[in-house]
Amino acid sequence: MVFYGRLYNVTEGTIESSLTKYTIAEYVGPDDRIYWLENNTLNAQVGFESRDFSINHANNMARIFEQAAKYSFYTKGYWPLLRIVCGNKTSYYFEWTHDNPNSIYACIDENNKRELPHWMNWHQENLWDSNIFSYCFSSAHSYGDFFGTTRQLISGSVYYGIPFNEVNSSTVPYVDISICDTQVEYNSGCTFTEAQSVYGRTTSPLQDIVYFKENNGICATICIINRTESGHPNHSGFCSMNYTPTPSADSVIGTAPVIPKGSFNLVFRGRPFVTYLAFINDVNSYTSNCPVMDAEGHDFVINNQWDYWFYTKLFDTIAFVVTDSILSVYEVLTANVKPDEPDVDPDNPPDPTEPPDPITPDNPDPYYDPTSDPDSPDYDPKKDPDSPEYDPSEPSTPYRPPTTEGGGDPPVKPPEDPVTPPPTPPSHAINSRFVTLYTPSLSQLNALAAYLWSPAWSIDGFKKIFANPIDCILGLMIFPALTSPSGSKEVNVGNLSTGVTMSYIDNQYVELNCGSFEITEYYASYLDYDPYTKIEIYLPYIGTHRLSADDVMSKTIQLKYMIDLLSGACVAFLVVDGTTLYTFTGSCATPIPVSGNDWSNMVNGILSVAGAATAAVISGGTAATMAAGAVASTSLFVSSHKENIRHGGSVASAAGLMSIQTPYLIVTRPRQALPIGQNSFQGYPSFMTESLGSLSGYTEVESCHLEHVPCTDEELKEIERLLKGGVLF
Amino acid sequence: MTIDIQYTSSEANRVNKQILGLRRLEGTLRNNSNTIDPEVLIEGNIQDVAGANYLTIYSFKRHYFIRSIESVRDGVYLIRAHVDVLTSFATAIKGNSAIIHRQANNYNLYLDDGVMKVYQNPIVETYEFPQGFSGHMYVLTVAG
Repeated sequence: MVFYGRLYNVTEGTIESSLTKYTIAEYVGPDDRIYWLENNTLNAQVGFESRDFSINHANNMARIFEQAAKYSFYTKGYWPLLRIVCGNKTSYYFEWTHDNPNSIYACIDENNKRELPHWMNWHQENLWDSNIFSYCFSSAHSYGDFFGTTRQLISGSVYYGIPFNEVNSSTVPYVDISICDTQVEYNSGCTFTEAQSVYGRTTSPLQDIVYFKENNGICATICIINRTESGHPNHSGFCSMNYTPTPSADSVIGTAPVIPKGSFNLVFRGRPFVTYLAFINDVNSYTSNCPVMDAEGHDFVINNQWDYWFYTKLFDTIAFVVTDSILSVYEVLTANVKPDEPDVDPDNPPDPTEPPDPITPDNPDPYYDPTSDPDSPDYDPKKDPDSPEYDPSEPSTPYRPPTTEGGGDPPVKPPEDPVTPPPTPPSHAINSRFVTLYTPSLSQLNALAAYLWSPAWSIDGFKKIFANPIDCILGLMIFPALTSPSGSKEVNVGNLSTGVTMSYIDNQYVELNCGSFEITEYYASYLDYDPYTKIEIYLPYIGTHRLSADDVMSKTIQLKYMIDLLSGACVAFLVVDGTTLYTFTGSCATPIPVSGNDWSNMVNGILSVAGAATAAVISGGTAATMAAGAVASTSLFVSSHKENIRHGGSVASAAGLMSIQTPYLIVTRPRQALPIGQNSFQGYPSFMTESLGSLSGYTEVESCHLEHVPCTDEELKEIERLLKGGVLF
Repeated sequence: MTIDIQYTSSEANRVNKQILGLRRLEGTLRNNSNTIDPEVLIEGNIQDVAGANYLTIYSFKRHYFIRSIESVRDGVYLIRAHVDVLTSFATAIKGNSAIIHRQANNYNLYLDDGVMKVYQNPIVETYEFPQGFSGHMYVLTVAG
């Protein structure tokens, strides 16, 4: 009998998961003795480790029980929220203990605390597929608000059983457990007695939505939870959650003003890495942040909290949709955001993870460097960044050996200096008073042209001929609307007063912030990066350029333009996670010829741009010829043999005015061919150091040195060959 | 020596196999055979070995795949086998650690080992920035 369960080892809120297989099976025989099979030996006894496996025992149904999952974790003064996903018509048995020799107290305050028993259990039978349970330690057993003041170790196990006569069915029971350290503050006096499961998943594959419900059933809290790694693809599982502390309810940024019938939408802008709450209140609850709205003069009754909603993170806007399945009007939704949260500074993005626990003797830092600790006898001021004697040539961070998990960030994070776009240059042509920039209307331009080319003979006309006033018109150009005029004044051309009044501007350089958004991963794998995912950016007045997916994936990109109104030159700064990674140049101005010389310059400029575009097309065609005849094989093969097509050339200057005026990204993602059971037949890349006994399922070994195997040398070589070829644990 | 004639429905490369015992017989090791590829003579009925594909020789402390069953004479069969090193030494193997190349459940999808395949037709998406240029204006540059 083979069962699979997910084993979690939780330390400090991080769950390392692995499938593990247990070979213990149990059979409750008709003689009321319990038989179990272990290592192909049938054993029997009355009772089994003093545990009560008597689910369905009353009808004498033989059952196989399996330890499906177990975990241990440390509480950190928070409410531990356990989420269990299980299914396939099995019965589940949950058992929790805490191993701390001292008592753990469930308490609201010191004067009102009760001891948490060392053992508790709960079971649920005949669950169907995709049942989801959440188990909140604090209150599911009416222990009040569990709030340990020190770290406590809690261990738990989940057992499941299936009817003995169904053990050969194709269904495989499964249990996924995830844990998050919740730190839900009190909201309007709510006491959460039921942590109602994960309710959905956001557009990010690393975010889940957890729904808490108040005990009286009229107040719900929705929390967005950032996970640190993706779950098992077959189980929609979850591995760990980093829970951003939720905001309090004292700052309401959005309140539904009217209760519409049928549905209600609320949209508010959020910030990256911030957790938001949406409170759904009964209109009859008369809470302070929930105004009573009686659109039709009736009393409302909540029969259903809500049945559908979604979350989107595009442009940091979160939208909740609450619909009413019973077609009655009942809900007011308010959105709350942490009040003291400053706007996200792209130079200093917030840390999405919880701060680590303080280093204590019980919780030493494995990478503690005494040379940078002023209190240590080994203190070396040259290695202390806070010391004036600090010598940056000597790395202060000691080498951290690779982790057994493999991969991840490098052990030593090098210092980095975010490069931000520069401010507008303080010195420019306008404040030199040698030139003036006007932003005339069309009628004002017509008036000026009429003056300059008027045929009337006069003293002014005589001056026009000999002074050649057109030489004073340095340029006339069309720009996108970028700035507001600073004032109006009469236009003087050389030493002539034209009598035409125009708006003028007193800053040669203007900025345009095109906003920002986050590029999210699609597969949460290497396919989201170069060379598989290709990203191009179209920039008005500049053209289309290729970006490296490695640079921008899973990051927030911001686009800023700086434009010179004198020359028409523009520079686009692409800021990625607070630092400028790309700079592109172009021209925003469409020149209007006011003389024959201007006309020839403009035409020559256009012809040179057209020539460059032709060269780019020819280059793409050559690449296409080289790729002809290629047959797709691996993802790398496909990506490396695709034509390198540019989605556009230069659109600067006159062409820019006729082109699309909003910048956009073109993301070309691969379409993964993932066969069903890929992990069972071929597995996924691992490159981790693991104990072979802790693994389950398909395993290919990269390197091993087998020892303590009582076999011959020839057999040892065969074992190594089989392990490297792929075995099933 | 005692031999368990068995049947396994498990894959050959599975470490812990599901083994169904069919018959326990006494057998003799043929000359010039070894513990890796033993040839065993057994006495019994054809029903005892029909359907068997696995056996265990307890004195060798090993499990074996049955490669062939030959009838030597009436009631005597010669079984050629090959040791199943994975199941025979499963406990010892699982006590070792190794660098894992590919795994069904412990994996890192950000590692590119070139095995994954993609279709030829990619997904092309466009995302607009929140703001862009709009409208136009004339800019007249005049000396002085």
